[in-house]
Amino acid sequence: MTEIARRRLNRRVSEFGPSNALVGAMTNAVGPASSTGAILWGLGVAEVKTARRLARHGVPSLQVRLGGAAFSNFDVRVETYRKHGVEYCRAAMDKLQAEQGAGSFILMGNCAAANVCLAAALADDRVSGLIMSNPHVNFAQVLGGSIGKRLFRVRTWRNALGGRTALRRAARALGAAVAASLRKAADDPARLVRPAGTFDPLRGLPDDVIARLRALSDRGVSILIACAEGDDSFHYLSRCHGRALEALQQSGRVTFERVAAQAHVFSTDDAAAELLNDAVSQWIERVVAPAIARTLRPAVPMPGTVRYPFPEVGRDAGLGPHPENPYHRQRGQDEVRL
Amino acid sequence: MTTTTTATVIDALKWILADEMDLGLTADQINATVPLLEDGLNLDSIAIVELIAVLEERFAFQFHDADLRTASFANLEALAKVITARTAGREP
Repeated sequence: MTEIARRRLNRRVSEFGPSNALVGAMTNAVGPASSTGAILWGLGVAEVKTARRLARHGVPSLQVRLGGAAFSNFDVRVETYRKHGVEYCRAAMDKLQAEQGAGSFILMGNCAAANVCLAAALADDRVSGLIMSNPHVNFAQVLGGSIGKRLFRVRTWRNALGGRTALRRAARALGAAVAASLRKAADDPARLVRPAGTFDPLRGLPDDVIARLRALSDRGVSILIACAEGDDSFHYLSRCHGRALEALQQSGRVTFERVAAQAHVFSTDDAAAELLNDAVSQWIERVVAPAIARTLRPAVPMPGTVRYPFPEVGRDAGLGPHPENPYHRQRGQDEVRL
Repeated sequence: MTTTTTATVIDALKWILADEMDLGLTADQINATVPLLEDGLNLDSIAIVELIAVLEERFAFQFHDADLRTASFANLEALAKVITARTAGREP
């Protein structure tokens, strides 16, 4: 981090995490805080808007970004996400837990950060909500999303063998799909390598993404997957896992949102990114807000800061929580399950 | 009236940027139409988050959700218009 950038870290933004590798901006809840907090990857203006929406519902949040060279250098950033993504998610949750008393967490990320959030949700029981926008998919998944499934359809081969397919046109379409995928892969050669068995968040979604989402859903985690219809992730998920996702949505905890836009990044100023942001906002209103509202308690004086007016209720010097006062239970005991 | 107010806000913004954001520029050197982000003053996301906090504190207002778009931070003129709209009708 440059000295100038470091000097800016004086109000909202602070360094934290292992070796101060992360920078984060805390947004406090408006009114009484819930025991659920949110970790939002990205310090963009759109994430500020999401943080404030959550704050209005009593959810404090921490916007997080990699600091220093890990942010400004693409290769270092990818490698850092790969090696430390889950660890950094945990560090952010620890910070929010220490500073705001949050006991359960909503994780939100776009692209590779979405995959990191998925990996962290699978690894950490404290996660109760997951927002993935345009999760990163690899070359094989892009290819699978565009042509893969059609190749394995009985109808495709029946049509071809029966002479009902315009073979020249089909070959052209296949060629175009492969060429488009190769162009994308050329930007990031790592995308050519598909993960075998283990889940590397930087190499696309895991092959068994549905099983993993189901495991999270069974654990009580509410999930939003918002994909722009022009994004590779939408094609992959809808074409390769469409039915399974539909079945998963019946469980009520998983929402797969198709956004009529081309945007890939979450925090830019085109209308498409606004639509992605809107999808997240609507999910917050529909899923998060009611769950939080059920568990919020009126604000209470912090123990040790206010002298109770009735000494016979507050024991000894009249300070601290009273065991019979239901509002004086420790925060975190009643975690919100969204 | 609005023009005067916007001009006043632009002047205040120049001083805030020069004093608070460590750009290495004086207020006089900052042009109201130069982009705040890429190809301009190059404020990054950390700086923008800080700037939002500073502006809300100094001008005693809060950005509405609709204001939280990159277009609002395109340059000082755009930013001043947002601030002027949100603080209009208040006692100075």
